[in-house]
Amino acid sequence: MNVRHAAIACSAVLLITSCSTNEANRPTASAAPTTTSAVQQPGDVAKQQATAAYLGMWKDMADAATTSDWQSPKLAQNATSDALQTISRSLYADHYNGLITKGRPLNHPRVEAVEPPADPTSVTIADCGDSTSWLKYRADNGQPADDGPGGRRQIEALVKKAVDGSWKVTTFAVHEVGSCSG
Amino acid sequence: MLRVTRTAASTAIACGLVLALAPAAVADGWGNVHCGQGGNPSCELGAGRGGASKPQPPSAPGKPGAPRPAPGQQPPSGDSIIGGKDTAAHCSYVRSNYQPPANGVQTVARRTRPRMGVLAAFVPAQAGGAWYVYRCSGPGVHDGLYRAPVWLPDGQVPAEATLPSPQELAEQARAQLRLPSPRIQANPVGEKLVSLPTWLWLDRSSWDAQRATAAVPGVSVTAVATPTSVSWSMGDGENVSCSGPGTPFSAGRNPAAASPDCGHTYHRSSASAPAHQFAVRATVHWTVAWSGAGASGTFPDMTTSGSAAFRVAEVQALGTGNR
Repeated sequence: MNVRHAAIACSAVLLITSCSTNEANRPTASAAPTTTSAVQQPGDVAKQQATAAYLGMWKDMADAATTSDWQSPKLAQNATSDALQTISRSLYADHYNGLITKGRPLNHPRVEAVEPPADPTSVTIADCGDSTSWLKYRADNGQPADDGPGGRRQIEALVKKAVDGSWKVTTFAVHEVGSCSG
Repeated sequence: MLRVTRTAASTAIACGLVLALAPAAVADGWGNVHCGQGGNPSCELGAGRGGASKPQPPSAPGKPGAPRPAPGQQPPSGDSIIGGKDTAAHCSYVRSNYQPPANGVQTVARRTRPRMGVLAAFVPAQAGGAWYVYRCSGPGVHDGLYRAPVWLPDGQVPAEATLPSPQELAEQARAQLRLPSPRIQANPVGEKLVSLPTWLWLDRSSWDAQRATAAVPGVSVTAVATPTSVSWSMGDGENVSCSGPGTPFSAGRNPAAASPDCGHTYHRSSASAPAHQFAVRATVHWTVAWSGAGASGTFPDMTTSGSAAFRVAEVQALGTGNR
């Protein structure tokens, strides 16, 4: 494996993806409607459903993580595509290592972008997730898995409307402990 | 198209290897999925917001720095990656039986958006290959745990990647054993009495051999844990060893007779103990053996324990309400 080429390839990927991300985010600041009327805008429903899916995804993961059940059908309720597979692989690693996770994460999601505003099919969510009470333990003796404490992690997630009308998280990025506050 | 796919695949593998050098996971629920763990390829989401999405150096104070790849340096051999001066990291891969969830699979045909295209290479449609768990070590860094599985096509499996040895599979099976905690039963059911034999036994549901199997295609190893004895700490300073779970007391038996195989007779009341109760603890010893893939062996014994509180009264105190 040529590392130099690998690093260049990765940088190129990051360049490409950052461009596309910027493009996706640009219109949101001005286009997001501010709701002053009592009538629910399409964007409001989308925001609610996307946020529910986002929170549901972590709840489903926390449920499955109590036994590291990487094959739990519940995982597909609110997540699909990369998001689903990342969670499944994470739980497989825990299962493989003989670890389980106890507790719940604490989430504070806020909607960052809604696309397209008239008939939303894609919602970007940002969160400062707190894992202080969501930690791993050895399944055989209940001892804490590591000395590392949990903490607050910056999270971004993309939630999309499927053809059946349901909203599911398609991809997410969870950053280091300490990457956000508040 | 084929060529594009291959390029994407090798890019993803390369990125995976780079990501493999990220800091060790923090033991919280997101420890395996955070950016830079190699477990989550989706981290371009925040790329437009301050660049926090790239693999991060370790942020936990006091933790050793993970080796990071430095473009321009050549790897010494095989899969080792130079990350600056004398910071080579070695990753070992073990083939796993991981299968992705059906709707988590991104087939090549679905790669309609360029930004998702790279990610698709982590999950090829049906190409030859397998999922590998892996762990890395380098100066100051040693993965104690395996990281989330990555897909490696057959042609790109690192030289060190192997089928797990029977011993490695056995270790995995052992880690998956779930031993039940013993549930303490005793007679008399409520208050025990000084000088009257107390029968001790464990609920039979916590006294079955437990087994777990770890397998990859073609190889399977089973670990079996068998309960063999119980150590009872009776709370009055006495310890009792029993070679089995103990005989349950049943109606019709003489309550003044001692258990044939597991019991204790208190010689003082628990009145002076904390909360006027003796803290009783039963520790079950399990032998753990494994076999499969043409090999067999044993692991160190495991133990489980359960506790109960026994109130022990002097006989003359019965029913008087006095001590």
